[in-house]
Amino acid sequence: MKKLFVVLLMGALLVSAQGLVFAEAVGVTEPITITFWHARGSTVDAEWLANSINKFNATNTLGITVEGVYQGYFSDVQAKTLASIAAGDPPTIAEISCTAIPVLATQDLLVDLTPYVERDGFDMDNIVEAVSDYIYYDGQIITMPYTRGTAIMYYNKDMYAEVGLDRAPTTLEELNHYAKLIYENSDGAVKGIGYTIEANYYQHYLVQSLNGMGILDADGSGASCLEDGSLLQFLTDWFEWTEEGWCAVPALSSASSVVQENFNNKSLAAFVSSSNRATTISNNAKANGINLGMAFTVGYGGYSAPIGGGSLGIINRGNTDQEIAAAWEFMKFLMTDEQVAGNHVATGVLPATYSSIETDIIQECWAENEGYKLSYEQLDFASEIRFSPYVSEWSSIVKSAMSQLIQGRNITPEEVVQNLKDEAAALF
Amino acid sequence: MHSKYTGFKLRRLAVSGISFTFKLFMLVLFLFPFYWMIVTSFKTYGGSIVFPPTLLPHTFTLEAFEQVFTRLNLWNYLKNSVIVTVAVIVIQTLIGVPAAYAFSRYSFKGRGIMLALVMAAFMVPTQITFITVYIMMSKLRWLNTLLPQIVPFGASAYGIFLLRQAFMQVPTDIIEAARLDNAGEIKIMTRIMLPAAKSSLMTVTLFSFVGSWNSYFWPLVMSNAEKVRPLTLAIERLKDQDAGINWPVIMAGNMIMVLPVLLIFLLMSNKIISSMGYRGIK
Amino acid sequence: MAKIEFLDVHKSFGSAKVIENLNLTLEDGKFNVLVGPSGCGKTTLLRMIAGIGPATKGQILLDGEDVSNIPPGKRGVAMVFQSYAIYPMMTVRQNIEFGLKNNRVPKAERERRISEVSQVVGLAPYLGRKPSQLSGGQRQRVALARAMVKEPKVFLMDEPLSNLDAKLRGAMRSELVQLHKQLKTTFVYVTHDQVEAMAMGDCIILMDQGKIMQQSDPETMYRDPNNIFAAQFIGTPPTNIVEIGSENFKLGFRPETIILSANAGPDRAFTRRVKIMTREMLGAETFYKLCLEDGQEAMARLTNSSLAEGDTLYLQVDEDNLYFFDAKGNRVRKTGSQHYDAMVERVKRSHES
Repeated sequence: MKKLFVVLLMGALLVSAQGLVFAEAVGVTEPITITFWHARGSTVDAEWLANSINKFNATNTLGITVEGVYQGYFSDVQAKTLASIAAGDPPTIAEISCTAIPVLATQDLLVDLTPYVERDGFDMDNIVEAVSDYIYYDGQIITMPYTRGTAIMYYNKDMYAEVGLDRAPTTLEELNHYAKLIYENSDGAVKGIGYTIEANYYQHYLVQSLNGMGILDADGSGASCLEDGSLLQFLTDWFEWTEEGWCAVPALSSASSVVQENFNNKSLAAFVSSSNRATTISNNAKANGINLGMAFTVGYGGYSAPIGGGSLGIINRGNTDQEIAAAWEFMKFLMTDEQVAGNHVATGVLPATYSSIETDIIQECWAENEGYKLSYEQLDFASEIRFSPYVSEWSSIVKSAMSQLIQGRNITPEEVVQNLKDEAAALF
Repeated sequence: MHSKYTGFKLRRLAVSGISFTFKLFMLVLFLFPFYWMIVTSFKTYGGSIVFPPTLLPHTFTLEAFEQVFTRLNLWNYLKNSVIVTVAVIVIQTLIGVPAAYAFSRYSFKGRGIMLALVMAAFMVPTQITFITVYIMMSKLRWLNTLLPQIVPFGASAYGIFLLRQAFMQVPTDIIEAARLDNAGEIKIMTRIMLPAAKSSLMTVTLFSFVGSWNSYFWPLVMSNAEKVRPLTLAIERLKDQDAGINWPVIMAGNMIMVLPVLLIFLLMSNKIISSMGYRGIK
Repeated sequence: MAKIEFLDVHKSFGSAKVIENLNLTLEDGKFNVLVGPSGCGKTTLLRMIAGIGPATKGQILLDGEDVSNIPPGKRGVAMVFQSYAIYPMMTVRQNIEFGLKNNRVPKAERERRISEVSQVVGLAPYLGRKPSQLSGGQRQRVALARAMVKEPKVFLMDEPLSNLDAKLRGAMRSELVQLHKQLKTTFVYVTHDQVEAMAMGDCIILMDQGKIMQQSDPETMYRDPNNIFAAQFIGTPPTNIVEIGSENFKLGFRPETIILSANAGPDRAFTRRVKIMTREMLGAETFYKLCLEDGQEAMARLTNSSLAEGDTLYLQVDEDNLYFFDAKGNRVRKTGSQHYDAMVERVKRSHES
């Protein structure tokens, strides 16, 4: 449904020949209200964002008022933003996922921020390099990192210690070994590890640890994992793990919530989730008396981690220069050290600037909670999926293929790979 | 003789036993979800995810309700839900009753086609029309108002159809008698037709009420600002699956959501049931 | 009070022509009864007067005024429906008051009329009730009261008694006749029941297939029918119609005019030998089904109950009691027809041959 929706809107976009607004750095001359669409719905996220907006509205001297509108998950924000652009009534600024940025950027729907960056001397080198891939497109600056996150392994320290692992696992093989032990020692009551199906996220980096590229090639226009046997190997393994029982099969609905429920009721010993949820997950673990460990995520033969999450983009249609200028002011505010650091500490999202890391806010937090620090340190080897217009569609195709295998269980890994080859031939 | 008698008695006992079991089963089937919602809303998060689940909360807490109120500006959403629901019901009645009357009692050019159109509208799912309507609403600059949630539902094909069926049951004689009594068409509609179609009107109103009150998809698409969003979207907002769904909070929100519906059904249940049994008098 | 005239009236439902080219005048103040078999168009005429089933073509005049374009509620007519059509959701009082309110009759006047009418029809104790709490007869009275209270120029009644049981129907019949005598208003009463028509009407309009077969007072209707249809529709059992050999006319005689005897009297106009097929003893009278020698049948209605099935006797009818009809079924009367005497002669001779 959602896909159809997006396709229809693309059509509408093409038809509605609206004049392009060329961004030119202007100043905000009179009081103005702009809307900000976002996906920050969880308690800690919503609280922090409301805090940010209130502070900006109260302190900016230009008379800018930001109205934050929660639009659901990233996919909802993407769909609604596209719809609103087609309808001619878009928000001024939106929180856009890595998957959606290419979709918007390739149609020139995002304002080029370069004039503003240059005018205000905004230091682009201050942005943490690992999260900078989705900032640039075609020589333009189109986004700012905002709620970027990496995947973290959250594990029950006591359960792993009980079977003999008193530190975080360093490779997938090690993790699997102990996960299996936990399962066997509990007579099948506790599963060792659980994943959800996020083809462009966890599964992508697991494949990447095999072939160095993941489900999408480095140039973003092919999937050699289908040919080099890496995807087949991963799928065969994953199927096997779930068949043996110690790796949990993802639930058909709200899978990411279900793994957390099982972790909290102690029927699951470890799971992988975004660092953006670190605060919520820590709070829940504490409430349920769980000795939570946070660790680097692992792949075949070592560490391997994805980077995802959301960035801020200003919509290039239906907004006046004044609105765009106001949005830039808000963006700049969110990129201040205090905001970046506070965002990280309050919710767990990655700190996106080097200078913010030097602040007391972050240093004090890291001193107390090594898990937050760890998410940042993981950026040394974590990577983003390639910027490609195919990301969105290809990952959704791979996701449904994985779902057929792991959740449907009525197909062999070989058949899945064959089907994907057909799909790939049609797509790329 | 004796055994034959007891055999009959036993058979009757068995039949009533089966019937009782079946009724009990249906009751549980319908009531258990409600029970589960109520119980869960008084649990802690830990209590809600414990395995195996418990039928009663280990620790009874109102924390979930507190969270709902602190996390949401509930009055804003409640106000929107009430305004939208009341407006939809009023407009639907104002439009649907005359339309149904015309369709049931007048023969005019194009009646068949128009009725077919209404029926077609009845069959087209909103999922097909919403993009066009969205663009229309956007062009009208209505997206920051409650209008997109009200205006498209001003006419209910289902309501017109049901009322038309009810109006057709009214004997022609009675309408002719009223015409001979010098009653105008509006008077015939309000004094003769509507009382006779009471049960259908009530059904239509109830369906509109529940439909409008529970509407989720449409307001999700048609609202771009918090100030115009209804309760359903607010309750959904309590659910963030990536952060782990906090079932007690969701259920507390749902309790607040269904309470008005339950109250109306409880208060009106007598009328609803009796109106279902309404028959005209010969 | 009003005279009602139909001028060249047509009525069709879709392609079915129910009434064509009909002209009729209903006299002011009369108890007019439209009678005929179902589908004859009698209710259609009534609905034209009311304005709830307008004519396809032609004019309807009320006191000389064309009412074709006047809405039903403003014609000064009231109607009692076969189904009563009382408003089920209103009390008896509201039912009666509805028309008055719509006609903006002042409240005091309404009260006066309602109490008067409810006294007359005997509904005074039931004014607060809902129709569902009333008996069939009481509902009928509500319908009547609702019509009366408007003090209309014309009362229209569409088989108002057909839903009542036989006993109540008889009582209501005479009440309605009395009501008419009191009000002296024009009544137009539709029925398919010839007994009702005869009992109640001052003027009977007998209809068949959209045509008026005869319009006259009851006495004339019975004694002097215009055609075979009228002769047979009125009276129980209906008028016997027999053919005389190969003659091109038909003979009619009422069952009660038959003389049955063992020996044929010489001076009767019509004589036949008959055999009694069946006998129905109804108390004061007895019906005999007779079979003529040529196989034709006739019914006799006699006070003599002593005859038995299988008896063979002579059937005789006096000349005065014979009706002659031409091949189209229209009456040939003694006055105005030079063939009449010849026909009587041929009938007399037909027995001897």
